[in-house]
Amino acid sequence: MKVDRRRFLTALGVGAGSLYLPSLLGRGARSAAQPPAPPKRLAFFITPHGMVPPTWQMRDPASLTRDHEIDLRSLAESDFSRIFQPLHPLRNKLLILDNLTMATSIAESKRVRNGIGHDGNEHHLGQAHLLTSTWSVQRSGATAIGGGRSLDQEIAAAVAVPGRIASRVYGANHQHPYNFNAANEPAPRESNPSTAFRDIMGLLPSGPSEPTAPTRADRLRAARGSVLDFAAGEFERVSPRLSGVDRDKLQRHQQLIRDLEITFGGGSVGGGVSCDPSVTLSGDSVSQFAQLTALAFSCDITRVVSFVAPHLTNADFGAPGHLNMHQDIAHNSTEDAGGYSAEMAGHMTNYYRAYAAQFARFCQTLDSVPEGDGTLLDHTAVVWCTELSTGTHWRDRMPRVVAGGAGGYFRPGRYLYYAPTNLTPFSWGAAERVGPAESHLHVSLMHAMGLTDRDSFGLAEIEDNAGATLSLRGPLPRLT
Amino acid sequence: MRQLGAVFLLLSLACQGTISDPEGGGGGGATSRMCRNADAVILGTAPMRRLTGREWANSVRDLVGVVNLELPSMPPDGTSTASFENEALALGPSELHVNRWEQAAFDVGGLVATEPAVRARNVPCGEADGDCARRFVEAFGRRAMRRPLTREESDRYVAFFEAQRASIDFDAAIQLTVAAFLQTPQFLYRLELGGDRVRDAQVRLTPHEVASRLSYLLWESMPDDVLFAAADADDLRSADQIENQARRMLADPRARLAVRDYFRQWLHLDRVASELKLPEIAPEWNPTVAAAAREESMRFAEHVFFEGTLSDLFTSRVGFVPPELAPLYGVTSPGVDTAMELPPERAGILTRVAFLGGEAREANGSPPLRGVFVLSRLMCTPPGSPPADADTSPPVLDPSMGPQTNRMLFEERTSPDRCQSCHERIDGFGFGFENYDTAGRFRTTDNGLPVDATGLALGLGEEADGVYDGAVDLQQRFARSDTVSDCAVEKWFVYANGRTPEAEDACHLRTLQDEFEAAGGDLDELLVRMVRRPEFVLRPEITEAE
Repeated sequence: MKVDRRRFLTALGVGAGSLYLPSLLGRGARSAAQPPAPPKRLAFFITPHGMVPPTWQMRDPASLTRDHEIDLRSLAESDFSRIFQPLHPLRNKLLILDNLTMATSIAESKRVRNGIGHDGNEHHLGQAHLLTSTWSVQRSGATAIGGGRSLDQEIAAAVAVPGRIASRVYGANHQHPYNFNAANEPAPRESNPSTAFRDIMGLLPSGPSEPTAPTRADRLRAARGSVLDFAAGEFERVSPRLSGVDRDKLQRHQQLIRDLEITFGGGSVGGGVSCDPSVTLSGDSVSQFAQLTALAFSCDITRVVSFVAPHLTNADFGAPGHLNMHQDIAHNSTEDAGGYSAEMAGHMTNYYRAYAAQFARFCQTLDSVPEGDGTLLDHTAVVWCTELSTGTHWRDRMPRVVAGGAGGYFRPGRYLYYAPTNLTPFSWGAAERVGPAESHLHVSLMHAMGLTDRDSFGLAEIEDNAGATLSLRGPLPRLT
Repeated sequence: MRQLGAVFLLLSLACQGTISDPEGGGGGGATSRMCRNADAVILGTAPMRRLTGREWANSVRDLVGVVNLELPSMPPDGTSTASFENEALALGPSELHVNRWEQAAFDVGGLVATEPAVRARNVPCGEADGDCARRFVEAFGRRAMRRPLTREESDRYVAFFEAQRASIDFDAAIQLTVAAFLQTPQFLYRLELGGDRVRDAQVRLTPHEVASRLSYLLWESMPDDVLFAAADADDLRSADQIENQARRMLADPRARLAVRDYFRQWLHLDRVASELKLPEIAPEWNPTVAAAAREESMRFAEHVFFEGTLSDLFTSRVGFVPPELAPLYGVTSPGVDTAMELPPERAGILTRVAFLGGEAREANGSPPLRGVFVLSRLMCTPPGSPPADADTSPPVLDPSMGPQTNRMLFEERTSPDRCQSCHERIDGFGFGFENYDTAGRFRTTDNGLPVDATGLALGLGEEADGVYDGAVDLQQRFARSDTVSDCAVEKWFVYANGRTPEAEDACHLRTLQDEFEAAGGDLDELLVRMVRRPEFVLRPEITEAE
């Protein structure tokens, strides 16, 4: 067993250990005593636009009015839809969900219709709602942005290990953020893998070392916990003098300092059941962030990561350079679009095949780490999300893929079709029935990660098209 | 047509981005704000300000006195190019920030403890001096917290210092105490908690809080020793005293950096730096040229701010042209620091490469982008988002149609009625820049046809509306437009207050706008008038949490 330098320091009584709550030390001590079971992790893999229904769906066209499922495990690669073919090697570990609806986002469109000057751009609303499922905040310049803490942050706060990192947002800039610390406050996103690696380096278990008397540098490092304790005290003194969101910010800040303080207390740093800290990052940004995520998960440095996938160039999916990805291709990729052409649908399909290959690569990196009686992926749920369901801005019939079983919580290897049940909350045209709200998947993910007392996330109910209440409570059926 | 259908209904409503809900915190436009009594002092909200990444870095460097101190990169604050990076409500704590602030605080503490010159500046005494802990804590602390410490605070820091000295050593105590100061709410946030209630629900700031308002507005950093001394002596009480400090500070190089940063955000000058152009159309374009274009416009704006007026921003031919940019203007660069007079077609900032090449696509200038820029950034009336299915890709020439200009292609594109409800105004401005191509080069023909850069300007005010010809003419109209003048003041107001205007700001803003106009649009004078206002030294009383 590797000797953890910081734990050793605490044992010597050096540093700030005496400042910590006994319960936290107790938790650290327990985990040191017996080999821990692999924890559950959650990752969001987020790609822009949406897919092409005929080339991602694998539903049975004769059974659209009833729920049905397909056993993915027995399918050949050619049986997979064209977009999902790159996922075929992972088929035993996938849940593909067909026909969810971004109900809250659509409901906001109905509201926006009555509010002059609000940002009703479906991309922006999709991005604001994707992980918050609540009304957006309309910022100056009329820009819709997330109106509440996002699901990743909510779950991370509940499952974070004291002394480690609650969550990270990695990847590219999609103009509007998906992840939020609070309403209107985007969670910062790190786009540089090397910088992201430096952030977690200090939490990697150090190599074997002989127990020696702590050096001055060791003691200085340990004293950083005392500094944080002091700073947290100053936050605690001042926050009652403020009100509203200002007080909330300082209280959250104080909690973040307390969380970080534990890092320097030595109680629970390092470890992880499949940790190999010698990993070096290589390849493109998807590979590097996948490796980084695998490292952070396997060493139990964090349990929640969001990855915003990089933009693709036309060459990445074999489209001619003169075509504009957004306007020429995405907007003409479904048959209801004025400029629809099979050619553009084909490009859009290839665009999403390229993302499917990225997603597969991300998951396979986790799957290559043995852990417990399976792999790291088996103890993770990697959720592939898109801000829209098509390039033409639909927000029903969403494609969703969950890879990994979240430690046995999900029953993967299946394609699940959900029959339409709810009236759309759309504000125009004839009422149409759509599939279940994505909010239920959010509840399922909270349950999978152990937040089993949660019954809703974001808005708990909205109005459907007929003015009746549409409940968004409860998990999505059939996943477990 | 399903989802797409609804947006068409929306469009005509959504074109004008005007919100009248004072609680809503969105939108722009002045229609909701009516001032009934210009002498009234009415306060809008004063949300707590977290230091932006730039303010934090400047403050750390000024605090320890190391100009080129290397600091860890912080995640960007700007999440929407439509607002300023210091928008208070969007700035809060995050795990990543807290972690990186901690690392930086520890490292900076180490520098203060071990680097002799830095230590000499920050630690006024030595280990052998009996009262050194307190002298250090009080001297360093009042600069870190930007106000004198209370006795209780001083005691707490001294106790912390002594505990670290006993546990490790004196130098460690210095390092860790510095690290503590850098992580307290008083350093990372601009807290305004002191002061005396002067009238109903209004509190007059302490002199040190006034000093910070001044320094973060004018320098994006902490106060200097002179400003601290003025606060200590209670010499920031009258408007004249505050004005004296402001004028002194505006003459400092830090003000120039801050003003450049303001214009970078207001005029979207970052955009050009990442623009690419087709090499067959603009072979001289490359990232160095793009960066030079950004720099040139910041330098020009800085010049106008300090030496000219808002009108000059739209009419002046003064240029500070880096050699990389000279070929695009057809001039010879005398060096970037030497002012030169540019050709007549380069009057005003919207005839410069940063705007023209930034608000453009890779092959052609973009009349919609350029028009939206004018509406949202210069007139404070941002149009709504285009409908979901609007084709906003650059139109492509169809060879079978014969030669066409960029303008003809866009006119065809936006000709449907449902487009015109917004594009009549957008293109009314956007077509005015057709004498400049995607790289900002001047042209009189486009694709072999004569350029038509005429347009109809609407909404500028009666003295400026009407048919114009070309960007020089158009900008002369901006220079005499009340709408543009009022919007320029509103943008500074948003930046200064870290929030959008509220209904309560009506008289405050109206007065500033009137004074700005009366003063001939003098921009640095606007800031002086801003800090002279009674609202500048007041805040609303903090009420119990809602």
